[in-house]
Amino acid sequence: MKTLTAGALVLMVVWLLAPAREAWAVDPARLSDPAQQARYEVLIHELRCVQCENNSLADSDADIATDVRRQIRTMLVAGQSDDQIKAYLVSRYSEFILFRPEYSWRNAWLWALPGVLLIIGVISAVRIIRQRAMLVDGDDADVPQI
Amino acid sequence: MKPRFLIPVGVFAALVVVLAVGINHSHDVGVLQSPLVGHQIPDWELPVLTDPAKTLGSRDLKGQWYVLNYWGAWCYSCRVEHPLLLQAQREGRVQIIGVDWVADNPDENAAALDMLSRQGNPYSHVVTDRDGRTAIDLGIAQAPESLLVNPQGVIVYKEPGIITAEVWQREFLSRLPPQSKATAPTTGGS
Repeated sequence: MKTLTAGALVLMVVWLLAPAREAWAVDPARLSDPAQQARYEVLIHELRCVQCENNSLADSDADIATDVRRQIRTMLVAGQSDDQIKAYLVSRYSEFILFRPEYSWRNAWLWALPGVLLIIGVISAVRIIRQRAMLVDGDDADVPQI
Repeated sequence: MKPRFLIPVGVFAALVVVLAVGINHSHDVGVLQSPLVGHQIPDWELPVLTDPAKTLGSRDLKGQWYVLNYWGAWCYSCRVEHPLLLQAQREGRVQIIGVDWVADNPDENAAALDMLSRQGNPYSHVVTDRDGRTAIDLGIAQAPESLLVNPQGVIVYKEPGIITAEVWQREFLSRLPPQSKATAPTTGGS
């Protein structure tokens, strides 16, 4: 058992340290400018593959994903900003392709809802705790009388 | 004080209603609504499959109704759709322009020509999209997909999948002008 665990650990370490890990990714393309490459990788993780809709562009080897990645690289090299690239793709495929929805009035409820729910939760929790605390006080007062 | 236990029940019921309405009104899974429908088709110009020195584009087709059909010899669903396109071409209500989507397949053009010669050619013109650039520009997500474009160059309908006989009747033919007018500008083939 111990040797098995040790073996698994060694395997994990080897996997984590393996320098060729990127080679297993769907997309082997590399841009010559490291800054552009970094932006490219963020973009392809934030954009949806329009064919296999629950994959990002980075995860998908569908034909359209390959073509869209190529288009993104072309636009990056041509000096377009991330926002320009996203705006272009949204104009063609609608906002659906953004995994991270835009901050807009239409989406306000989407962004605000978790905060609103959290506030409601905190207020409810505080009220319940206070009520219970009062009950405990009352119990203590009752005990000596029995 | 008493009906307070009803609050969570009410919230739950409201949530059920919201989700039910949302699910019923959402379009089919896998169908992306194109923001381009109802708008001018983005300018496109692509090399002709049989003669890449020549091109065909949206400007050449101004003033005509056409269906732009994205397909590929690699695409199984396109083969399923093929007989319907052949039948539509025989009806002659509207010309169908085929776009052979290369999608990084080696020998795609040869395979496409082979498929057309074996199974028949429903297209008045076939052009090639080599790098998918035009596909993206037209909001194409997969093959087959088809756009119906009117003489003003406006995309009036997009079919995000296989055109069946029913879809052809309901979504394409119904949008075309009455038969006598439609056939006039459709001179097709060159």
